Amino acid sequence: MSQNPHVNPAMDDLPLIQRAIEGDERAARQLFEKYQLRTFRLALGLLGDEADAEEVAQDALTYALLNLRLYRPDLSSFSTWLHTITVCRARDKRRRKFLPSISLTQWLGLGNQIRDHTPGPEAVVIRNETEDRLLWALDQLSPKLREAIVLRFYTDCSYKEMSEIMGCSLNTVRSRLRLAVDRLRELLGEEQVPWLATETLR
Amino acid sequence: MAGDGNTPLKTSDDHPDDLVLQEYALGQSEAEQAAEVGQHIAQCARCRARVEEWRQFGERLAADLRRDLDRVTPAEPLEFSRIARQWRVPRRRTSPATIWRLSFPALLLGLLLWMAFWLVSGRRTAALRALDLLEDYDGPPVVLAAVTDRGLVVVRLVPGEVRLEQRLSYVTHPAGLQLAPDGEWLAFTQDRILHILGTRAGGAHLEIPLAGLAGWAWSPDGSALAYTDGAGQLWLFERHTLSSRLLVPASESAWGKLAWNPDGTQIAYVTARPLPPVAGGATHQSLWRVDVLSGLRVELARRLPEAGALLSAEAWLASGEGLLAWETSPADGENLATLYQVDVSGHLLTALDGKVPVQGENLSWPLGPQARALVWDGRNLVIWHLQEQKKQPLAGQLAWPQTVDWSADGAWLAAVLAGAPPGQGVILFALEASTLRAISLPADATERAIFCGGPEHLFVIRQPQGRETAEVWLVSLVERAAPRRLMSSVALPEAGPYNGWRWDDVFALRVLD
Repeated sequence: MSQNPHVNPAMDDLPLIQRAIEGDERAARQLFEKYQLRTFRLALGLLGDEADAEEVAQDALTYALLNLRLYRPDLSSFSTWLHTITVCRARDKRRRKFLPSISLTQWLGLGNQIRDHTPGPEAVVIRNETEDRLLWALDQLSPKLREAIVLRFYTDCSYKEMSEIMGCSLNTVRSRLRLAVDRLRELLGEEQVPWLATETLR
Repeated sequence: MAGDGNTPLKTSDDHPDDLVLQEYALGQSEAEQAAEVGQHIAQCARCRARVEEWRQFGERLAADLRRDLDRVTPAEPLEFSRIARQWRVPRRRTSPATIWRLSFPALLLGLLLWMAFWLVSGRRTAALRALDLLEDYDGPPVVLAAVTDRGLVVVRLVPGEVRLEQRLSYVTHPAGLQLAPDGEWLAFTQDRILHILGTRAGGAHLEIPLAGLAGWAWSPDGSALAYTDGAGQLWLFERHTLSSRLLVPASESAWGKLAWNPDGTQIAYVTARPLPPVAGGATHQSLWRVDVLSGLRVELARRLPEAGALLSAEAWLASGEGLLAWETSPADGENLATLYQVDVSGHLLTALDGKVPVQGENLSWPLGPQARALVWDGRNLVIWHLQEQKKQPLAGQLAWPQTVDWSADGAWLAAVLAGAPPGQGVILFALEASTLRAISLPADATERAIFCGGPEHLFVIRQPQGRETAEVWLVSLVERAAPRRLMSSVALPEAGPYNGWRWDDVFALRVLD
C-alpha cells in the first residue's frame, strides 16, 4: 500500500476539511482516499474480521465526512476524531453480533489474506514459537484491552489520544494497557520474555 | 508523586512503580517524570531491565501488528459513491427541534381538522370514494395493488363485493409490486426497504433493509419469497415463519432478478463481480441455480465480461429442464434484450433470434405460458414457441405493442398498441387461428396497459384525456356487456423507452383461482 497509517495526519488536513465543510465534494473524496485504508485496518485490528471491518470502516467514514461540522480541530486531530468514531462503530458492531472477538489467529489461518509472509521453512518453525503465540494471545484479550493494545501499538496513539478515543481517563488508559500487556505476558509464558530473569539484579 | 499527580513514582522499596516504568519505556512520561526515571535507571539494573523489557515487548508487538494488518486491503473497495450521494442532498439549515417548534401549531390544527374529517366521513369510506371503486363488480375474483394519490391500496374484488383491504399512505413511490400467486401477500420496495405485506385488512407488514439493487420473486405456491439484497446475498423469506434464511452468501455476489422452477425446488439467479451498478462496465457474470432445501449451487452458464452487458434469469420451462434468460448490451442501446435458452443439464446457453424490449429490470413483453415469447426479429413481430422450437409471424402489420399480457393457457395474447387513437389501442391475437381481434373502448381515454383476467376478462389501464392519473377498466370478452370503469386515481408510472411504461411500479393484479 502507498499510505502509512502510522504517520500522524498533519494539520494539512484542515484546509481539506474546511473545503469539504463548504461543500467541496473533491475535498471530501481526498479525505476519504487518505483515510480509508487506515480506518479499515484499525477496524480490522479491533474486530479481527475483514467483512465486519469493511462495514465499520465504511460507516465510520460516511458518518465522519457527512458530519464534518461536528469536528473540533482545537480539541483533537482529525485522525483522532476518526479513530474515535471507528472505535465506537466497532463496539456497536461487536454488540450487535453478540460475539466475542473472533480469533485473529484463526482468521489468519483460514483466510491467508494477511499472513502471506512466505518465510523459509526454518523461519516458519521459529515464528510459530513466537509470533503466532503472540497473535493468539492478543485474541484472548477482552475488547477493551484489545482496543488499548491496537490503539497504542498499531495506530501509535499517545495516552492522551487513547483516553479521548476510548472515552476514559488517563489513569484508566494506563491501567488497561498495563493489564493488557500483563495478560499478554501471562498468556505467552516466561520463555517469551527471558529478560525477566533480571528480576534479581540490583 | 509525579507526572499528572496521580501516578506514584516510587514503590515502598524505592523503585518506580511498573506503571511509571511502562510509561517511560513507551515514551509517554511527562518531562519531569521522565528525567526522574532516567536518573533512577542509570543507577538501578533491575529497573533498567524492566524498562528494556517493556520497550522490546512493545516494539515486537507493534512490529507484528503492523506487519499483519498493513498487508490487508478490503475485499470490496470502500465506496465514496455512497457518501457522495448523500453529500449532494442539500444540507438542512434548520435544526429538527426548531422545525418542530415552528410547525407544531400548524400540525396540531391539521390533526384536529383531520380527526374531524375522520369522524364525519370515516377513513375507509373516504378512501373508497376517492378511488371511485365499482360497487357492483361482476368480474373474476382478483386482488389488485395500485399506487394512487392516497398512497398504495390493496383491493380485493369478488363478484358482488369490493373490499379495500390495505392502504399505506406513505407508500408513494414503490417499485416492483409483486403479488403472491394466491394473492395473500404483496412484495415491493421503497427507499431501499423490501416491504412484505399481508393483503388482508390488518395483515402483517415486514420491512427488510436492502443494500442496493435487489430482485425478488414469489415461489410458485406463494409460500416463500426469494430476494437478493443488493449486497450479493440471496435470501428466502418463508411465510410460515415470517423470517428469512440465507441461501447464497455475499461472497457469491448474487444480484438482480430470480426465477423459480415450476415445482419450487430450484431458483435461478445471476452472479456478477463487481456488483452493479459499481461495475460501471465490465462484469463477470454467471447464471446459477440453487436448491432451496439443500442450498446446493450449480453454475449453469458463464458470460464473458462484455462491457455493460447484464444478464437476467427470467423463467423456467414447464419441464424444469431448461430456463430462459435474457441479456442487454450497449450494442442494442441497453433497452433491447437477447433471449437465451439454457439447458440445465447440458449447461448450454443458446441465443434465440429476435429481441425483446426492456423496461427497467423487466421485459416489456413478458414471456407467456408454455414458453411462448413475443419478439422483434428486426423486421416483424413474431411469436416464438420455444418448446416446439418454431416461430409464428403475427398476422398483419401491427404497430409496436407497448404492453403485452398472455391468457393463462397461452392461447391468446393481448396487447396495447403504441400510438393508437383513444379507445382503439387494445388488440387480441389468437395463436391457433392466427387471427387478430380489436377491442373497442370509449374514445375519452388512451389505453396504456393490459392485464388478462382469466379466460373471459381483460383489465385495461386507461389515461383520460388531460388527466395525470389513470383508470382501471373491466372488459368482458364473451358477453356483450359494455366495458366498465373499475377504479380511478391510479398513478402513472415512469415512462420508458419504446413507448413503454414501468407498470409494475404502480400496479399489480392477481386473478384468484
